[in-house]
Amino acid sequence: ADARELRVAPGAPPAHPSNSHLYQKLVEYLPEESDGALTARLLGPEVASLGQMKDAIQSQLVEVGNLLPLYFPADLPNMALAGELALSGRSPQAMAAAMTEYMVTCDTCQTELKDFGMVYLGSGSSDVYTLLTKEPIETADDLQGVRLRSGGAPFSRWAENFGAVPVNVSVLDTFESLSQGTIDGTMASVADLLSFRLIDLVDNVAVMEIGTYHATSDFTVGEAAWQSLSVDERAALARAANRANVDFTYRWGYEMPKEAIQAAKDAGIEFVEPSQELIEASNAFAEKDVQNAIERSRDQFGLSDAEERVNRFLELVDKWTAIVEETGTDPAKLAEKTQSEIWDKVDYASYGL
Amino acid sequence: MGALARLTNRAMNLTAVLAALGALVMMVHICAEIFLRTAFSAPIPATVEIVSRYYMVLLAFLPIAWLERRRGMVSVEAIDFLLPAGVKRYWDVAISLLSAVIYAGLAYTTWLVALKNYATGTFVMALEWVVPVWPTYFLPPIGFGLAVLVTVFRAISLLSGQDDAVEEALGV
Amino acid sequence: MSLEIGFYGIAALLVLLLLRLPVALALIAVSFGGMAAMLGWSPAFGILSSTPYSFVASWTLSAVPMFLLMGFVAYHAGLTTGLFEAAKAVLRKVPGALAISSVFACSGFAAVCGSSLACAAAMGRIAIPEMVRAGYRPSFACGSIAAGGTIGALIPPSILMIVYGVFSETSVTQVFVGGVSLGIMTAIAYSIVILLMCWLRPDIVPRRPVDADNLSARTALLRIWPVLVLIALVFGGLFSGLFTATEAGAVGAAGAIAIAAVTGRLTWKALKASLIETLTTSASLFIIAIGAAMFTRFLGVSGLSNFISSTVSGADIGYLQLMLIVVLIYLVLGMFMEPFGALLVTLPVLLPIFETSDINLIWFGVVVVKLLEIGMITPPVGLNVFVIRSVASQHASVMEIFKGVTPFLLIDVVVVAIAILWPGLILFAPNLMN
Ligand code: NA
Ligand code: NA
Repeated sequence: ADARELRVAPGAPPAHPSNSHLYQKLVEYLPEESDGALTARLLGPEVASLGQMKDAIQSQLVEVGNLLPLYFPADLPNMALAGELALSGRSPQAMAAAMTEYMVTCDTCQTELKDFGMVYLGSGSSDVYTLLTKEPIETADDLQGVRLRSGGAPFSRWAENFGAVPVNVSVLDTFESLSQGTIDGTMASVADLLSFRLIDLVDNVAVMEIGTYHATSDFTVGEAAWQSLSVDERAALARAANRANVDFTYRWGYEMPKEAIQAAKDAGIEFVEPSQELIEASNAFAEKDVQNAIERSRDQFGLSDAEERVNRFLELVDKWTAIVEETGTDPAKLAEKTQSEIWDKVDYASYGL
Repeated sequence: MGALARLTNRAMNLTAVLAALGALVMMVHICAEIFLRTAFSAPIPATVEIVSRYYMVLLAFLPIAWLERRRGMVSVEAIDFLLPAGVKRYWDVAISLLSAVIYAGLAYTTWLVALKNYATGTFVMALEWVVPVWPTYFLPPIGFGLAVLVTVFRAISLLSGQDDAVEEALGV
Repeated sequence: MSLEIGFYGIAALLVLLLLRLPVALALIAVSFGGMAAMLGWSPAFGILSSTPYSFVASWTLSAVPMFLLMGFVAYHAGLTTGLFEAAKAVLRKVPGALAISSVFACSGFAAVCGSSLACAAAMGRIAIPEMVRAGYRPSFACGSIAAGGTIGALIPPSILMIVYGVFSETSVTQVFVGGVSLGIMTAIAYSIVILLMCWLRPDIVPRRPVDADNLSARTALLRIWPVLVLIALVFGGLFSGLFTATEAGAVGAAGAIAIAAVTGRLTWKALKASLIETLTTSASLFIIAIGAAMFTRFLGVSGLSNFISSTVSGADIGYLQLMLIVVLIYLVLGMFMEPFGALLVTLPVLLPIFETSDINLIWFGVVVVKLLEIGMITPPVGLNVFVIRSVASQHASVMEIFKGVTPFLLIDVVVVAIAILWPGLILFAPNLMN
């Protein structure tokens, strides 16, 4: 019989890891996992960009797409809650797995997704964001009045706590803003040095850990597409997605930062060790910020039981931090863990329906 | 018919004035943002979101009917010289009606989108700020809907041969 | 099968355009129909309902109405009237002085605006009436500004180059620096065209300015100080880092209004006219761009755009053949697509080919912007021609403007050939930075 071809869309160009190490991997794994019953055809960002992904999936133009849930806090409050906990991120693979288990096992998350017309098949995570700046940052005093690009509310709270000024600049405008001096630096992945050519402009990288970007929905399946698949096909799609998710986080959270650090060292960029006080203050703020996340999730995203939800999420972060420490970062081994701990426990006759 | 045409006309003028105000306010807003962040390190929150989700949507969709009335939509006049005057009138009617159908399709589908966003109360987050954006989803159906009226009125007046009555009421 | 629908879609678009359906509506109707034929009703309605809002709600695009407003205020408040008197005075001995100085004025304007559309719109409003009054054939006057506007995307700041730099992971600054030389080359080439026209067809381009005789170059230059202040304001702020290229439009518009007010030239009538034109121009552009974005999505799903570019990668060919094919691809895509769509569709296929063929990506970034800009003035979908049509509707029809653009298109082919044969002409400046 002919294979069923799914229209899949990363929303990003080929050089981006969510294309090369997420969706191209899905194209590779899907026939393997489904014994040839399913294949995937990749549609580029000219057909469905990240900004259009929600509509593309809901209208069935795209059947599996890379959705940025933080664009839709009103529809996906639980994803927004997870995004508020950015400062808790220290291990990319642990954050990705915790996020995935949280979403798969929480009833209201599944209701939200169902109302949104989508089925969730896992998340990935960035590496731990740090400071990429023109002037070296060693102490809290160095942060006073420094204008930093911020990728979200938790990073802004962190910056404001140290007297820096968070600036809302699109990631594509970072290069221009930095080159013109509209901003003095960015709170970002060290990989941005290469991805956005910041290596030409940044002189200092702080050796510290601020937080991760993990509120993603790497593979978001449209309701109609999901319903059209048999139970076995759904399980196969989930297995392929799981492998690709782990590959993607390995690329985004480990390999790319490593390459960027090497390139930065070759380019003579300084890696600045901040003072012990600053690192301690930063970690202390991250712990304190959990309370802000709870309040915002309750007041702005309408989650009345925000405190329990946040605690559940943080428990999962601890659980997966331990697992990742034990297993190591090898993608194949980790994918086995997430498959057995999360995806094998899902009932594909009812999941997402 | 005349009354509806006059009402459409007033609605169009109102939308054009609103869009013009939008352009001026956008200019002042961006300049104020630059001044405040430079002089006092105090940027206006959510400027990017307000510019893109409010002023831009206002500017792009509100003036469409008004533009259609001024015959400001760009088209390629390649075969006009081939058409005798008698045929040209019916040709214009056909083009107006086809345009009306396409505008209607746009108005209807964007209206459904607006209702959906109204129901969810769609908002975006600009760092710590919450910016509700669902109201602006109603601008495309308003713009396209008025364009349907303008193109239908034009077809009617062309057909009835009385360019004056309706077109005059439309203020052409 | 989808490929076929892609071809039918292009044919249907041509027919609808010939029938004189507005360009925007023709693009929208074909994309909707084509999408329905390939994937069914739901995706077709999805594209119809989602593209308008998501395309327009863009921070980067906000520069377009603001730069338009700046240009229109400068024109209606009479800040720029001195510009052409000055040009006439300085170039009074040169044949075709008005057209040549408006091409160089486009280049100057290019340095303060990020897109060729805004550049063409602003300069069109300023220069075309003056040229027509001086006896230029209107189609040529319009054509020279439609073409001159393309310099707006070549000389930095350039929104297209920023997008290219981000996608190809090359230094935007180096692409910018390379763009300066190709922009200047283009301006010189256009001036040569004007001189030639002047010599061959004095009925189209009058040989000398009409009434510049009693104005000294010195007095004339003194009269253009408002424009110089405006350019200094926008430039100064841009390069000192006070604001970004996107924000510069708003500062420029406010600056134009402020200068007009200070010099007592800001009348209610001028402000109203400027706002009306800003609205008509930006709204008519945005709806065409929405249509082009839908059409790009349709071609993307049909696989046609991919098919065209991947056919190239299959063949084993040398540098000149490869570049010839690349040029042809962009000329064909540029006929129908808006530049960002064409860029997004082609880069994924072409960049890997270039990397294996050792083609310098900074050089290509400059050349691809030039090729995309040629698409802005080729029929049937030539956005620069449409913008000129909407700012100078009393002077020429779309067909006449396309006709007026033809000599500039021919010289553009020469410019592209020079850029391909001597890449060093573009690369010497970026190489100095290393
Ligand atoms: Na420019
Ligand atoms: Na074209």
